[in-house]
Amino acid sequence: MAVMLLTTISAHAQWRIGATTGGDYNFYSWDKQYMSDFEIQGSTGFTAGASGQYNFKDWIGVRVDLNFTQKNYQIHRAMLDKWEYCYRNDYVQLPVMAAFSFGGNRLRGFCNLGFYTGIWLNSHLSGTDYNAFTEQWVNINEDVKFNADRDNRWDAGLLAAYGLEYLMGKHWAIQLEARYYHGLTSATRPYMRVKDYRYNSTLAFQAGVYYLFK
Amino acid sequence: MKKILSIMSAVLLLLTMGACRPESDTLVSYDHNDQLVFAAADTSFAAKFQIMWNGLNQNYAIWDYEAEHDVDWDAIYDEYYPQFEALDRRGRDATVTDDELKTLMQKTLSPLHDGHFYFEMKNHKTGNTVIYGPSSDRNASRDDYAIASTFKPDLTYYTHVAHGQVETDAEGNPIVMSYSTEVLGLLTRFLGTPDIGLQWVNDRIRELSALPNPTEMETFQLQQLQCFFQELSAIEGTFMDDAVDIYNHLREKYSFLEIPGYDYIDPTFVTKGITFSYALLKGNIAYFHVSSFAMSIYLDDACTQETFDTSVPATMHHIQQMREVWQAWFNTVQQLHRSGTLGGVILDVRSNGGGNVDDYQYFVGSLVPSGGLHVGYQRYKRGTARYDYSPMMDGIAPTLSTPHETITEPVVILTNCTSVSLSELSSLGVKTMPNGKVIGKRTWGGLCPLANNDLNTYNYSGHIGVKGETPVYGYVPMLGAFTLDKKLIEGEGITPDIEVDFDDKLFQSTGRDSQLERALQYVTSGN
Repeated sequence: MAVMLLTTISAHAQWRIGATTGGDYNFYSWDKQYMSDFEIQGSTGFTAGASGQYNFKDWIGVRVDLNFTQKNYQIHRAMLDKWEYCYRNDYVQLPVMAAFSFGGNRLRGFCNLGFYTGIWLNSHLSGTDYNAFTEQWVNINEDVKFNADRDNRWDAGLLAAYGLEYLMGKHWAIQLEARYYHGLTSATRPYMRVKDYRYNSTLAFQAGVYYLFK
Repeated sequence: MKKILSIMSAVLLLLTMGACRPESDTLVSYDHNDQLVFAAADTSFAAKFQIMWNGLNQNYAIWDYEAEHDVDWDAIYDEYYPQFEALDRRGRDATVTDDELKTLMQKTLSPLHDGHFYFEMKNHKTGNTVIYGPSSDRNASRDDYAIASTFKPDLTYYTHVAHGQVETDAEGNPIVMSYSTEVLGLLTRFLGTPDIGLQWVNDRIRELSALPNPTEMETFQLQQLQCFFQELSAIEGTFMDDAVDIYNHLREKYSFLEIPGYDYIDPTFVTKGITFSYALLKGNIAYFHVSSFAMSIYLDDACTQETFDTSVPATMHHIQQMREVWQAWFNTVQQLHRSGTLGGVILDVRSNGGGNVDDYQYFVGSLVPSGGLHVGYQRYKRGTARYDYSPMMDGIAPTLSTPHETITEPVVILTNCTSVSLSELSSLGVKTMPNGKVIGKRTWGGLCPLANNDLNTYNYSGHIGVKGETPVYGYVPMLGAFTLDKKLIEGEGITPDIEVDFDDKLFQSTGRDSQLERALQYVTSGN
């Protein structure tokens, strides 16, 4: 892929910078084993960031973003209606991707493929739990303290995105993009001999505004 | 074309790399007698170890605490699993002694700090069940353990009017009450009290044997008394539950002999027989001791109905006697506080191994306001991984719901190294009281509470296996219990506010209790 990219460099190089914002939906993959009444569900979040892109030709370039993305999820229990854990996880990510575009002069489609790396900034838990000993329901609303043995704060994976771009005049463009982040690093470190992996898979829908340097 | 090829190759590369998500290991639940899970352990020591190690890995509630104490549970697997495997490799006809198995269990489990848990393994080579729990070993090394392990509070010296340590009633009698449903005491009463029970049987045998011309009835009675005496001797050397079965069976069989004082002993007393002791010591200091926390079954009507056969007069007599002792203490505390003449309260949980948390309301919970007493925090397992925990939840101990006074006079709780579990929770409760003090020696270190397996469905943690059924059984707490400052003190215990050694020589020679006397000094002087 790198060789093919290098062979296509030409005099049509072009820089652009922009900003994106939108929402996302995160799926948390966790093998719940025999805890049969646990229901792990996805949850929505927020994403926003800055973007820079260098086009080698009009159809191919490289794009680097720096964004804030939430990877939230929920756990419910089928047998205990009120029981609920809602995790809000904030990440800063650096996606790097090959940007392919196609179409007309004004309205174009694009496809971005690449990888991302990031850092898990913080985590917050809200919800309701049950203290079986005191027979009391308990409201929860607290920051989760990271455990250095358990929590893998480095996040990385692959991404794929598709979208539409509309060129407004010579220097401005707006984009609508659907992007999928496929986490390859488990959110938990291998701190036990028993393997327990947990992954985030995040689908983001974002809008962006770009300034094209021509 | 070139564009399409570029995009396609990028997609293929991503798809290939996207497959790189390793899968978690598959785990099983150990909370019930699942044949598939436990079958291998019937004939394999290695399989028994796997269940013990994995069961704890999934259920144990304080792994972070163990990590702070440098316990490496994975290293323990690497070291001892091969040793359990080696027992299997000895061959089908080779033996593995119970001592060998216990030694390996000890090495595996002794680094862990929980103060309650123990494991049972059925040694399939000998047919015996081997039991090991690390907290007994840990506490046995303490300098006060030997005395504490056999100590029972005895107020005889203090309740002797001549010693001037006890309040008296209008007739000059010491204000003291005590009753016990402990089976050993009930049997001893039957066996050793003059004019009743076995003593009556012996006297009657002597009388009838001395008759020069016994009637047919007298001869028959003598024969039956001698048969009874012989059959009763089977009690000697048996476990308490067997002794009670024999006692009750003979009571029914020989009922026609009308042996006085031969009352039915409810088998529940084998495990739930306890002692209440109350004394109003000089200065209107209300002392109360309970030997073990099974108070609710005596004091709460619904619990009594559930636990005992309440149609049996002898049983109800015992229960009523117990109620009267507790009521006397409680009423005295309430009345003296209302009149402004209460000197203080001394609660004694020395050598009390704990019990039912509902009892709290009749003990510390009867001295503080209704609505529960916040004594610490609790945390549950919320997943199969070692560090999957719930947030901290308030640990609220039950308090008496019926109207009662809040005691503001000095409250002391006496502890020693065999004060365990609810005794320690009681001590934490007293520590929360502005007027409370813990006096004695550091407690056992077993605060993480246990529950029956039916609560496993809320928490996916707790017991491993089923006692008496599965080849491996673990009695494991289902939650971590923290102090009010969110610290775990499991395996360490509660440090008393005033540390006092127990002077056993003084106790044995005079009956004086050095720890009780220090408590009395504190209550009367504030120092």
